[in-house]
Amino acid sequence: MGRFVADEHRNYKIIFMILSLGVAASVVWAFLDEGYTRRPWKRWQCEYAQLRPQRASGEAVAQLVVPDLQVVDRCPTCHAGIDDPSMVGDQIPKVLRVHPHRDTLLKSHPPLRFGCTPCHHGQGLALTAETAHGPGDPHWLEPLLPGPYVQASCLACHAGPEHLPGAEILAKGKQLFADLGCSGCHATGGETPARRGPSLRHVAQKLLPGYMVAWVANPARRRAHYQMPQFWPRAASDPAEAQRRDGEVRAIAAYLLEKSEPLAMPTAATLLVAERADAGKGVFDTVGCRGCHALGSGRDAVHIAEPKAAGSGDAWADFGGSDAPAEASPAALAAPATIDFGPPLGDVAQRLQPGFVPTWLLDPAAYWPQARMPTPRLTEDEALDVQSYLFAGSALPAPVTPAELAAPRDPKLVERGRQLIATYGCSGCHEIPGFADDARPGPDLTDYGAKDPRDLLFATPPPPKAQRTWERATEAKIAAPQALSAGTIQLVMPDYGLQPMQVQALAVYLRGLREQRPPANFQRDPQGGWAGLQAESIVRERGCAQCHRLVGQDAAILRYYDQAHLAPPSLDVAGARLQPQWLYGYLLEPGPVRPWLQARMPQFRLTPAHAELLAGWLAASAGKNPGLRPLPVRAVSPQRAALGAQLFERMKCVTCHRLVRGDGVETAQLAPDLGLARQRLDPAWVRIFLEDPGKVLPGTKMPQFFPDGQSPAQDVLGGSAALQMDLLVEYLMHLGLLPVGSDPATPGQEAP
Amino acid sequence: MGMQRKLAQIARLITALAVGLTLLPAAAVAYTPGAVAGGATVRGVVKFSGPVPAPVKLDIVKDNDVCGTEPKYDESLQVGAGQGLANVVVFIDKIEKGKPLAPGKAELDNHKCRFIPHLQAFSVGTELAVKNSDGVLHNTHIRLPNSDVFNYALPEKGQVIKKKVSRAGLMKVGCDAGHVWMGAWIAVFDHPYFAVTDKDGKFSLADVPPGQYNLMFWHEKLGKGSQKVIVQPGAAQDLTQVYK
Repeated sequence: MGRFVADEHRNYKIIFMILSLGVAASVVWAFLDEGYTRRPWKRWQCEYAQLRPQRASGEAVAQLVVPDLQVVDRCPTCHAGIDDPSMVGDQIPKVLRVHPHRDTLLKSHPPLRFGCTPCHHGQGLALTAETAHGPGDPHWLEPLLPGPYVQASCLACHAGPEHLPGAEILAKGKQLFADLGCSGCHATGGETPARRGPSLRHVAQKLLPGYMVAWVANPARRRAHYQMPQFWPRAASDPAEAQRRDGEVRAIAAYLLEKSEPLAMPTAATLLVAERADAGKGVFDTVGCRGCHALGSGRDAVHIAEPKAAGSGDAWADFGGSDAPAEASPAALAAPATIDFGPPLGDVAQRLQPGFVPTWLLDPAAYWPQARMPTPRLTEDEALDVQSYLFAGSALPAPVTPAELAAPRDPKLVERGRQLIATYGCSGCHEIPGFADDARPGPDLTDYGAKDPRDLLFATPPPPKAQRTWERATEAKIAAPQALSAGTIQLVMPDYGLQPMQVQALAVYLRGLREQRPPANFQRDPQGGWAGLQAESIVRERGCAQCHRLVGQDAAILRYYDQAHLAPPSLDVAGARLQPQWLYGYLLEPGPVRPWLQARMPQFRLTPAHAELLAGWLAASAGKNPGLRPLPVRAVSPQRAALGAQLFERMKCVTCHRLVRGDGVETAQLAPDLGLARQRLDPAWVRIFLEDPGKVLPGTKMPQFFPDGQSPAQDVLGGSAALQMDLLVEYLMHLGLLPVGSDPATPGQEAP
Repeated sequence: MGMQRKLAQIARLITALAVGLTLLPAAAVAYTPGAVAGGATVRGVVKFSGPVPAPVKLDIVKDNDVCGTEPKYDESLQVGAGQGLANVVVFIDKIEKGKPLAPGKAELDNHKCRFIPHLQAFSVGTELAVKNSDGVLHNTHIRLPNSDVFNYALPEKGQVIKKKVSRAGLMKVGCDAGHVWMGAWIAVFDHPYFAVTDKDGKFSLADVPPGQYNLMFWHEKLGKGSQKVIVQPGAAQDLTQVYK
């Protein structure tokens, strides 16, 4: 019994020892696991403590709590050196390095106020790299935003990211989204912008039917900012697809021609006159058409503007040598090499009904009220001349006769065309009779950035789970939308033929589209305000920089002029030079100001609100008040007015500057009517301009009257050039207010 | 906008740099003045060949009371005795050293709505006096091919503006005050080896250091020509250049 008991006790001892060892092992294991497996952050904190013993705060979970954003971020637990400027260089482990934009982005977004995940996303509470970052794991709905996608977060607070430093890719994506006309099909929460493509309401009278069919089937890239996409991208390599395409295009064309509404137009036969072509070339080359349109037809080489020879063809250039390039670079160097703001016009005879051209030139709005093409302010004769020039040398296409327009079409084909137009969403970009104005054929993208990747379409067969990310799905969809079609799912989104960088930029922008936004006190207006951003967008849309120097960039059209003063004026000085309310009126109703200019400011048919925005924007860019207020009129004594008149006469200003408007004198030798000065010019600018005109406007014909601060009139105001310039400016600003009889400058200078 | 502006600035800087670099070899040939040993005279005559076209009468459309009613003719082609061609600029191309520059004083008069002289050459540093002898507004707008040199208004009769010309090159002079027919040329050199042919086409360049040179000729209507010249110490040379 005793032995048995003793034996029994020994057995217990062994069991007890084994269990004790087990407990001890699990304690050791738990200790190691706790320290190294489950708390990898301890390793980084130890390393950081070794690198910066005086800064380390001991081992602890560090967390940023931002109640405003409902964020608890424990990222600094591992990223201990994120705000420590000494943590730079290759020798520092990546995890511990300082934020790469600490002095800019981190400074403007202090971690205590913003946390980390509002910008970077990821799981703020997690304490291992895999769970915190979560890339490739479809169960993490908010993985860390990879690479440039972090820019998408800017959009949450900066709804206008256009000039945000560090958000360049996002801004480019936003611009592309607008340029490509994505909003035509997809809502993004904002207001509906104008349709991108031309109106097809009267298309039968605009396009040659054969061209229309060929174009829809296979559109080419013709202009800088936007383009018609490919709706049948696979037809190029797949004969069956090409056959389907051709049938569908015929049906679409049948609908468009059937529903095209008649527009009164002169008929082609009476219009084209070969002898007018030369006059037409003269108009085309001078009024400003060339600022936007090249004359070629293809995609590349023809867009290169043909520059004018320097030195206007005399022996000047023969002499050799060159003037200093730093002072005024030759126009050709700075101006953009391509002109493709509008479509190239070398092939209009293959595209357009001849009668359409003069109708369009005289009033684009008559054909299409929202047309981007401004009204070029041509006379009827000039419009006909240009038409003859553009069609010169081409075999004339047969004009569409009314009988042809009324030709009976197969109603079934027309109905199929209607269905196809609805399916492909043509009305997203084009005004089409029978389709509602506000229809958005594509899905709403307002919250697309927050979409669960499991709801997105991947190619068949699908990639491995770890690669089914939001970014991958979106980039693939944008790059080749129809490549994702499989079985019963047939995608209709067209192919824009985008470059990988463009695809990524668009995807970054889309990633930023989320309905849930940080609270109002986090929202920021864009730099320069919304008005500035809107004005910039108008300037871009309307192509102002095609003809005017802007933001230090010479205009494309400058290539066509020998001398800077012959080109349309620079907008970089317009803000300082002009009174905003005059500019406002001029933008709404442009007219001749510079008698020597052959280029004509077109009528952009701006709304008053847009004209005000532009005038204010230019004024603000010169540091002036953008408000449309006329300048206060200061009283001027009759004696001073008389002295001003005397000096004005003595300087012989009216040799070039006409004083009275509408006296019928208009030659290339004259300068702007100074009778306009009171409403038009900013007196402070005139004063600076008078001192050294060539310095303010390089290339101007206005000479310097007071070189080296010396006046030729030594007997006026003590011979002081400064006081005389003050007097001249004051006199100018009161010209319109003086009684007509006291105007000393008119006699003898008037033309009959 | 700030970013765009910055980018535009950088782009311009790069362009300027690129232009500067391409021009560097040309600019590197700077002229060094010094004593000339064995200097020789290069002289000659520039001739026009063939029948001389009748001068074109200018259309004086403005200010006839001041400009005068007597007919004015285009002064670009003037042929004198023995078919000698006047107003040709003759200069040694890219000469690197020789006698010191002799900047002096020059005048450009607006007289009866013509520039007098019609063509002149001087060296850098010369003080140019621009004068208005007429009672109307003239402006003297002097340009290099790609930039303005200066553009002075002269509203007063007898007014003179003096300005030191510090840039070299061929300058075109015009009047923008409605006198479209007025035109003149000024050739400014950064070395002293240049001349303008006289009414009989004769020119002379003194104290040319011995060596081999490219003698250049430039005429406003007929363009440029050149001749190789080998200058021997102390031996004067007589040359003939013919414009056809």
